[in-house]
Amino acid sequence: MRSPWKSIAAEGALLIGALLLQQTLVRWIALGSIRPDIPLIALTAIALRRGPVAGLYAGMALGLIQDVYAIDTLGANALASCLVGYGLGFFEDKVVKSMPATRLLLLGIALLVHDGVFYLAMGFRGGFFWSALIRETVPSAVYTLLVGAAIFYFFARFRPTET
Amino acid sequence: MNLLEWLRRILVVWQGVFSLLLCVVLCIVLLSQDQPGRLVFHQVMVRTLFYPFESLLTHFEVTLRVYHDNEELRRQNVALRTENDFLTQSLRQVPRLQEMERFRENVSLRLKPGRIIAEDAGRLQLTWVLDLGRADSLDVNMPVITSQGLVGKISKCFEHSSFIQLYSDPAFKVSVQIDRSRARGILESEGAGLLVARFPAGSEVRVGDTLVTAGLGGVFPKGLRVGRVSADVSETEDQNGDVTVSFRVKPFQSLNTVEEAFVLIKEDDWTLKAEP
Repeated sequence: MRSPWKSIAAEGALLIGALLLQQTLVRWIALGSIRPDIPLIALTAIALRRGPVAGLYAGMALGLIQDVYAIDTLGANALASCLVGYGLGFFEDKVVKSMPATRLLLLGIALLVHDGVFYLAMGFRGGFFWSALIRETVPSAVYTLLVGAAIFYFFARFRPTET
Repeated sequence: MNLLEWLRRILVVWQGVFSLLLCVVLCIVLLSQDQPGRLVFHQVMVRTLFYPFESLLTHFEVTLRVYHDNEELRRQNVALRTENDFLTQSLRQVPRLQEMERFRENVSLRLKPGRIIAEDAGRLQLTWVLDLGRADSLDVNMPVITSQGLVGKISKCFEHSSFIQLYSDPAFKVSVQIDRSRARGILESEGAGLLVARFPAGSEVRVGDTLVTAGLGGVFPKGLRVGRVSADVSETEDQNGDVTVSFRVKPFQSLNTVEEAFVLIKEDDWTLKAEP
């Protein structure tokens, strides 16, 4: 059995790696303002693997890191990510054996919920809220789903077979 | 069960909910911060917890930028070098073209200036390719010269290019005469860049004499400068008993330095109206 500290370190490294990728690689593959959300893919993977509490703390850490670099949205990312992490954790692999397509569906819902909470926390209401959701979130969600599908497929293919 | 034990059990059972509440409260506290409070939070985080990552990321970005700048500078460097080379070549071409123009003005024959665009790949320079052809009124056997002297003749002519048979080709022969004494002979190549002029025994030829074309054979007009007698080589007798003297000739025009040349457009009567 793997030590819990090792798991925490590995998942921390995964989040940091995802953030680094978001800051570097994503700039090159961005289609205008439409960018995939790599950290959210990492958060989804962690929450589905480790459950609600781990998802909650991972989301909180991820959101706080993102908030540090966006002073105007301080707390909004943290709130959105921790709620998403917590919610995704209920679909933990140990509890629900999800198919790859289901994981993608969960990722898509997570994106919508994350951005919905984020916009609400930012004070967007009515037309602004829906406009931001349609113009920003939906295209980015599609792009993120494509990238997420590739990543999930890659890890599913090369994951060692459990005996 | 005391109170502490009861609290511990509650925490274990409801740890998720408590954690969630804690995080949500923390987020709400952060969200309710005013601008100075947010700035303080940002500065504290960046200067402590985030410093190693911040430093790493900045370093990575700087390295990446330097790499791209370097790539761009390399590309610009190559482009500028190439441009510089072209400009240098153009500048070097100016005096040559001026000399060619002066030469053309002095000679009344029809001269067609052309550029040497290729030469045969062999060790010996026997053939060049000129960028003029039939479309430029060129034809086989037209003489090719420079302002210095004879170079060869057109051996093959295509629509837009021609082959020049150079004087260094052993198959190339031209009748020549000594400018001073008018003694006539034959100039031919012995390969390896050696030119030899053969005269009948008793011809008045001295080292240092200038050789010009004799105008016999109809290929070259009379009076084209060819070279200078540089040394006497031998005296030989052929099968008919005719004795000839051979002299080494140093051509006026070295083949290594020619980039442009003139083709003499052939007229019915070859007459060189003015010496180049």
